[in-house]
Amino acid sequence: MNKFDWKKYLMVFFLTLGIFALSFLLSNYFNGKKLDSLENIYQKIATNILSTETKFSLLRFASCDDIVSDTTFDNELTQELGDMARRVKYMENQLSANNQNVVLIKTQYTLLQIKDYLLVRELASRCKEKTSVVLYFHDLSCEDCSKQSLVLDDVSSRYPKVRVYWLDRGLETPAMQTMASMFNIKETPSLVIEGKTYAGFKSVENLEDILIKSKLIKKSDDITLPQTATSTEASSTKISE
Amino acid sequence: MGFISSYVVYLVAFLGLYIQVFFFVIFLEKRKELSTKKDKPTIFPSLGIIIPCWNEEATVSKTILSLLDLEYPKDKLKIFVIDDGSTDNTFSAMKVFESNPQVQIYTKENGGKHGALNYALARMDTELVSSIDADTILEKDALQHVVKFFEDKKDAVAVGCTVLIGSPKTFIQKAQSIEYQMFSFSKKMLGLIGGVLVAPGAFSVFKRKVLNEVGGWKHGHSLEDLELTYRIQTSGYKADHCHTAIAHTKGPESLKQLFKQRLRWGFGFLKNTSDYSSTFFNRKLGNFGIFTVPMSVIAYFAVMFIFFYSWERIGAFFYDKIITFNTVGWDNLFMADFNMSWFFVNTQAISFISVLLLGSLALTIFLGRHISDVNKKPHHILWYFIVFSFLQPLWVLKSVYNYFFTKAVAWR
Repeated sequence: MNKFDWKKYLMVFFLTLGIFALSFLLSNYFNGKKLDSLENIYQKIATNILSTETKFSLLRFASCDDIVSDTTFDNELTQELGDMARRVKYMENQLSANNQNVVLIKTQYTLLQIKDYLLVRELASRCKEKTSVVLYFHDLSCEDCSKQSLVLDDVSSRYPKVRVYWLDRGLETPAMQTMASMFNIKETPSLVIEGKTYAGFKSVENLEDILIKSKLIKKSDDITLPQTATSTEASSTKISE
Repeated sequence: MGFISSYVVYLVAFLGLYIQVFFFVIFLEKRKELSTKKDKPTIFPSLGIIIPCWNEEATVSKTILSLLDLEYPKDKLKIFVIDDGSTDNTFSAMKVFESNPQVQIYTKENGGKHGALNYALARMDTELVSSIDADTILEKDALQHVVKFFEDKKDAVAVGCTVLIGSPKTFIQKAQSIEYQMFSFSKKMLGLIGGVLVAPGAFSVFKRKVLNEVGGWKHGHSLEDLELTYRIQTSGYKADHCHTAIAHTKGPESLKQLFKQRLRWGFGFLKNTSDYSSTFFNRKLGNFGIFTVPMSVIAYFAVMFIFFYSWERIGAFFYDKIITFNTVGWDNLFMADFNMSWFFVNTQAISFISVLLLGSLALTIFLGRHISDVNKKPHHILWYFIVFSFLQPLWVLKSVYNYFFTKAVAWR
């Protein structure tokens, strides 16, 4: 007497399944697009680093004065590195940290960064110039890293001369392991500035202190100085302590 | 989102979407039966309305007056007002109607709503029996439509009607008004496939013979309407829903009252459903056993889950902002949002599914308003999402707690 028709239940099941499949297809499509755009940024970074490499090769024929102008770095690359790090982290959250495509891109760009770091160091030591580079060792599982990343974003946006290299300690590439043991990285987050390793979270003020003491930045370099009067005060009191 | 919990999220989302798609398929299939055209019945059977009252001095006379004003032959319509041991002046308010031949008033010791209903039932001889809440006002033509409905659907013995929130005043009532519009859609769809869950106590009509046969009302864990509907359907009778017969109720005014009501509903739902657990996937009961009962249980928890999940996401967002603020201050708080590129728009499958689920909720509200002929502006929808998304998880959890630790909840 009470009828129910299995066909309807099945039809609804397949409809729902279809909607699910469509959602996953859309998701795949957009995530694919995102990976493509990561690839694009990677290409830009590669091109930029090629220019550093070229400068370095030119040193054999030219003098330091000819090559190194007073802006050692082009700001563009610094931004791209930060941007790339943010995006890679986002994709790791979205897909999974083990996603092959993400790991591949991350490995590639980490190797590029290490290479750039070495070139920049060489270039600077030959031409006797200070390089404002920060090596930032982070890790997906570390709690303070997201805060540390924010600090580095903030500092590098206010001091365009400071270039941050974003290095994922968890990456299994041999070059990464060598870098980590070279700078005696035991925990994340860790920062390496002027060859010295600073372990643990460093706030904006702490980091500015370190950079000032290492003579990598001057307070007047802060391009947003007028707006951040309060933070300047805070850090200056710190120094006086 | 953890590895295992992401499977749970997708499972819940799938079940939720399945239920919604099911409703929309029924809607498309049976849309011809959903006209709001109002035909008159050919014969008017005798009909008795029971109003159980407990401390209703403020509303009872208004309700009786509105019933006397209904478009139904006066000699066929009887009103039974039962004072269930009120501690206020309910009975003296009722006494005003003592001399009216259509109205029968009784007072008895307090014995619960089901007791009051049975007290009246024992004194009735009408063909149809309707139970309404003391704060519920029927639309003038409501009874005609139910009677017509009984005429068309010969095998229906219990017919639930559409209940809306009359003129919502507080934001709690505004939120409920949207919720009731949603109910009216899902209830009608369930009616169309012979799977009504509950003929609501606020306004339902029964065939008296069958009501007597199954033994009238029972306590039903303070949810006598659900228990009765379960009992009628497991006794082999049919329940249905008449969407053209509309009543307007008040609904709880304050958060506290709403919470209390929902605790009673949740507790009663869980208790009665486990009392009638043989209905689960019972093929003999048709769509009622295969769809309605399991679906109601799933939906009960899924709604909580979906709201929980949304709040977790929103909470995570603000937590993130607070961390950002504490770390780098105001300047960079929205930096990431300013240079927002589409890259940082969440394109996980669950995002698309969430959007579809929310859309389906909106569609349910729209269709519910459509079939119940609601023309008011739908701006209360905001209140619905605010009030229910915050509170639903709370009373669901509390109901489950009460269910396991068997605490009875007060009727009021």
